[in-house]
Amino acid sequence: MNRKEELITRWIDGELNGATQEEFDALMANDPEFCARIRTETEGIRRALRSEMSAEVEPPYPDFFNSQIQKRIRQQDHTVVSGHVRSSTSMLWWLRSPFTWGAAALFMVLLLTRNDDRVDSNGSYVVSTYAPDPKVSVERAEYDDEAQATVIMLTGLEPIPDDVEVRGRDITAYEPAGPRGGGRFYTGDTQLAYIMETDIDGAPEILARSEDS
Amino acid sequence: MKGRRHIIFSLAGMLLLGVFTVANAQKSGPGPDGEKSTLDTKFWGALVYASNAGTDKPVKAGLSSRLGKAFKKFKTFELLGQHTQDKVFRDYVNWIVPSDELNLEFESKGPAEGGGMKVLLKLWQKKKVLVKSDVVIKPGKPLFIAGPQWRDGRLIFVLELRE
Repeated sequence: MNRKEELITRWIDGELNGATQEEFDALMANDPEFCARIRTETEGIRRALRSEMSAEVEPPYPDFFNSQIQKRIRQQDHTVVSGHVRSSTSMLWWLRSPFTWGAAALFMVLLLTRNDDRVDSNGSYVVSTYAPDPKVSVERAEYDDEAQATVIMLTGLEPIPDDVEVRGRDITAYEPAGPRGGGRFYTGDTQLAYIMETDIDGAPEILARSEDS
Repeated sequence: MKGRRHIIFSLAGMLLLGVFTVANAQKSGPGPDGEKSTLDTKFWGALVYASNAGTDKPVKAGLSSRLGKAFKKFKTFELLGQHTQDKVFRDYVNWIVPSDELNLEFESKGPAEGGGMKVLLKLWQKKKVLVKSDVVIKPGKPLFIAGPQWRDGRLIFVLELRE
């Protein structure tokens, strides 16, 4: 990037200071037509983005999305501390460019819209996996060719105490209470087995009915 | 100069294309709230106890073989509970509840390209979410989620799409 391009990039980003502002003003005086054209085109892009992106596009799991951003920031900080990043700011000029951010935005848009349509020749597959408890980690989340199944392996889970009796039922019907969850669960002979309600956070509260009742 | 303008117009075009793609995706989204439609799919979920002890209630041989390949340290797979769900309600939160200890919340996002169903799921242990996942599940290709340790083994949640 030459000096002229750098000044224009800074101007678009609103990052001109006293000295660079003077330099830019001189550039404007020499080539005002070009600068006016750039400004018009940039404003057009901004207006189009603002008008079309007003609708919210929620990622499939917002907390997972945020955690990944935080993770990337932490990794970047670590890299800087480790001294792997060269001190020369000229190496990072491209980060200031609106074209870089435009390309990144486009990439995110395509990622969000195309993610669900990925096809894996093996069959079932995991698009994303996330364990909300920081003590729990996803050791493995992939299709196992040998088992012909998708396997998600969690580590760090609290063991269930031995004295807890984990019992199951043979549920054959579910009658939902509404779109947000909850409902009634029946065994084969239409006997009510569980009644579930969900709280404001969506957490289930299950009332198990005795098999004799 | 011309090259620079070309780049700017190209980027603007790409951005607008992306924006309109999102807008169209939103327009073709789910129907209005309250619409209770069902998908022509059947889900089967099970809670399995994997251990090396004997059992008088093993899972079926085919499933046992697959579980044995996925979790090699266990030899026995006991069926603790199961749930067959014939009707899956689109845009509803659906549940697979083979026991009151571990259960699965899932939301079907409809058929996936290349077959199978797109599913957003959460595995709950009582009131705690153990894992959230976004998967594409196909008939005959079950999903195994290795849950907590219990006694001398481990609980495994199985989810299968059946035709």
